[in-house]
Amino acid sequence: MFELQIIINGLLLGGLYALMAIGMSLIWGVTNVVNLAHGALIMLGAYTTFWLFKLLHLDPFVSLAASFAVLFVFGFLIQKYIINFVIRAKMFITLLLTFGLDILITNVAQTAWTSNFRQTSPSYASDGLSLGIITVPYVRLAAFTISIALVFALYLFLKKTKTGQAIRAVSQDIDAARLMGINVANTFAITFGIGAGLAGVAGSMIGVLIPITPHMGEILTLKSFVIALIGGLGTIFGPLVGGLFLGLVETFGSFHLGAKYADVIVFGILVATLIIKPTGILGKNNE
Amino acid sequence: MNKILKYAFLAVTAALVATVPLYSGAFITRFLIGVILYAIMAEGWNVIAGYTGYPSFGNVVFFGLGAYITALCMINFHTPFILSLVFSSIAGALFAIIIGIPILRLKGHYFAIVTLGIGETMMAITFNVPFTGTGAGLSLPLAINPNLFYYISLIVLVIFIVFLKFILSGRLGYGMIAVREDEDAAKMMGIDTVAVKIKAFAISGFFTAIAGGIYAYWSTFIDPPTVYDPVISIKMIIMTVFGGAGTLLGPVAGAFIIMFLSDFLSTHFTILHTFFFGGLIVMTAIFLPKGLMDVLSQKGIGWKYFIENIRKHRV
Repeated sequence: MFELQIIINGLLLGGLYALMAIGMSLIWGVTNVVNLAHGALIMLGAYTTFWLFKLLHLDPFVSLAASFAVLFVFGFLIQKYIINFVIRAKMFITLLLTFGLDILITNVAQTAWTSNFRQTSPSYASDGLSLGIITVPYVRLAAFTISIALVFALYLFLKKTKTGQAIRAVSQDIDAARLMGINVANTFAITFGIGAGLAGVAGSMIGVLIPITPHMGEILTLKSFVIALIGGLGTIFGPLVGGLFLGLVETFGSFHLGAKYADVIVFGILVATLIIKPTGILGKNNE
Repeated sequence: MNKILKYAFLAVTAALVATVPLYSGAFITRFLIGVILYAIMAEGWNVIAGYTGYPSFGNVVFFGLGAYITALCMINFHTPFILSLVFSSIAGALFAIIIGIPILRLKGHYFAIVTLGIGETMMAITFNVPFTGTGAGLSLPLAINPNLFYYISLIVLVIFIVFLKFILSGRLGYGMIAVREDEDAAKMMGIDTVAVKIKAFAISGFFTAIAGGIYAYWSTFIDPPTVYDPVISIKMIIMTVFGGAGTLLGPVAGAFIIMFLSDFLSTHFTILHTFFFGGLIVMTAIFLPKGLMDVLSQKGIGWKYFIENIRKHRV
């Protein structure tokens, strides 16, 4: 009975994790930048929703759209006016750059909003759907549904729209894409914007579930990377599989070993994946 | 003549550096101990990242481990400070070898992220195992003479630099640079790349752990969030890259300049200090990826030098 409840909780958390990581996976797959500021973007999304809720009493699930828009613009500008400048430099330089952005965003957030714990807490936060022996919290159910819907929406966007096709073309071959008349710099910026926007939406919903602090992003960057890695790069549904997997393992692990070890479990999975199958569960076998 | 001047200059500098605590106040000595400890750690990062080409984002684990080993030795077994430092350094090197064997096979992004995770993981473990005092931290005995830390850390830094200079002119040094430039080619030439990488990581861990041990006794109190703080890794990285990764004295120069600026800003312009580390890292990555030592070695320098990175690598 407990086990069933844990599976439900794990899966619901996993859906949210998938949304959190899909932005990182997309940016990584297309621009070859591992965005170490991803957790900071998630944190910004959480704060956006928190302030809209606190100041304008906007429902957190309504302000998701605002969160996406704010983070899209922010991400677009970062890529276009900062990362694009050095995007073809050595891998270490882009890692260092996004690491610097992470610290910059985190420190500014800490100065502006202090490191007090905050939480977006709508009136229905603790309500749930009782199904006999198990309970499904509405908030987690909604977060899960929206996450899965957005993953599918991203899939359709990349497959069906012209911009989506441009993104896929650039990820396959920059030079060929440019010859076809695609503006590579703008496509990179849009990609980063979408990744950041999805991170923002994930952050908005995470902020309803766990406390918000300027430093919440550090572990979330690591988790996003682990999920992107488990799922395999260059696939759209990879992060979905990775997210559900991590959600389940983490929930089970915390239940049996204690919540303090949750981060150790994440790291264990990371190292194990890298050693056993570095291309991920759904990943292709070539580099 | 020039040579004599150079040696005279070096001798005067050495004499000045060696006597600082005798005439400067406690404040300046304290500041310089911080600079020297960071210089040791930055040089440690330089060995694995600057010379060997494996940018670790979690070298703080060696610092934290060293701090804890020294603290535990001094508290539980009352070992003398210097002996505790020896234990710390050995533990740092051993830990580097143990984690190095699996993770030094990884490249690029993978290596960077795994090292980032090691710091977080060690912090979580230290929080949870019983003998480390968990979240409450450990208190060490008070040192009798605060100048002791200045001299010990200075000696360690000098030994490290001389040792590194010796290494670099030998087989291991050339091996490290060969691995950095092209690992596959190095392997083809018969270099045991695995051994080279692990040795470099062990040297890095060895000296970083000593810095941790000195810090523990110096500050007299350690707890997991302080000694496993990811910001310490960030500082090592930016000091080395800003000063010049892969140069012998770049990390020392970087440590001094950045500590000075950081201290100055945090006392006089608190708001600007918020932007300092992040902004400096971003600027360095864009305009100064080769570091200060490279700037100094250029003959004529203009604004073109600083945008070369952008010109070459933008889309």
